[in-house]
Amino acid sequence: MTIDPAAVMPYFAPMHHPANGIAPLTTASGGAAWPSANLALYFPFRIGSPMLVTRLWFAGNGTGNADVGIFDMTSGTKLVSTGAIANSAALVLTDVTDMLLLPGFYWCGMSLSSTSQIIAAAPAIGTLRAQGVCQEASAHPLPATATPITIAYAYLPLFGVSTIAADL
Amino acid sequence: MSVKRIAPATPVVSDLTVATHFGLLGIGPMMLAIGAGVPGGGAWPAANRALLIPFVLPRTATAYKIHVGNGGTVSGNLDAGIYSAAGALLVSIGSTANAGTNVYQSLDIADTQLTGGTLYYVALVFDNATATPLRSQTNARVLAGLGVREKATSFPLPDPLTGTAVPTSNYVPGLFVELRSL
Repeated sequence: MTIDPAAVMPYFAPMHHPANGIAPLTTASGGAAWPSANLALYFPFRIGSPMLVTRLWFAGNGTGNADVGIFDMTSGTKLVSTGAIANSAALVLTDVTDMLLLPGFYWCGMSLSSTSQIIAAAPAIGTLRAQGVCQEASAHPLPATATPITIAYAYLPLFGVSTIAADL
Repeated sequence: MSVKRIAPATPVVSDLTVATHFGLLGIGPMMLAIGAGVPGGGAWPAANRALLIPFVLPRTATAYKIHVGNGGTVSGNLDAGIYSAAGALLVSIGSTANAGTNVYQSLDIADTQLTGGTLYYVALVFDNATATPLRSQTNARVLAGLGVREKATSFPLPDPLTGTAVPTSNYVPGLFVELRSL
């Protein structure tokens, strides 16, 4: 049986994974202000093998509160999320109730309560739209059901899933 | 008419590779995706600091070589190996002279079977910060988000290796593992 390695890698960021998520097509990643307070951004991804979500994370760089979650792409239903977690200048890891994602399509979503910074890149907005990146206003904390619309910002934050309970 | 069946020969070259900057497995695709896939020579970030890069194979295979990209300056000794997700050292080359400028230094490790769908780490350490292996640079927090880890005072590679930390330098060494799965 062939296994989808992305489903087992210790850290998975849909926005940096061309085979399972999207390709950012830009080299610049550094601290950048969140486009709008309480805005949620949704990044599509797919997995070909079951993925055990143990932690969710984001690459912080400022203040305010973040919420990171996984949504079923078909229904928009939120499957798991961190709830409001303080932003800081670090890789912010949050334990969540273990969630086994079956092979399929999902959104990885994040919202921030302010326009403070996290680590992000700024690819051309068409690059994001073409790959199905979406947004939702007034979505902090993340809603129980996502209502994504086409993204209006050239902003690619770094956040995602961890499949291990603790690091080496 | 009879058809002569020819048994496949044992492959003498790899049919799987895991690279840190390109290819289909490990963090290679992500490094390419963020535009950090073209490495250049750069001084090892700190003597005796091990860098660990995660990878998962799509099927069971046998690792038999690790290739380390050398830049314009070689110095001292290096060690390279593969760890389990729990930190057990599965195989390593041991302390080996860093040799050959601007080439991939081929390290013939003991054949080691790795299970498909299981997390492993390929590790590299130099005993000095003078050598300039090939490396790519991107934000250290981006590397943390790819699962890269580091550990100080780890030359030669210890067994076990635990207590790693997120990267403190924007440095991913250019190396790849050759494997046979057929």
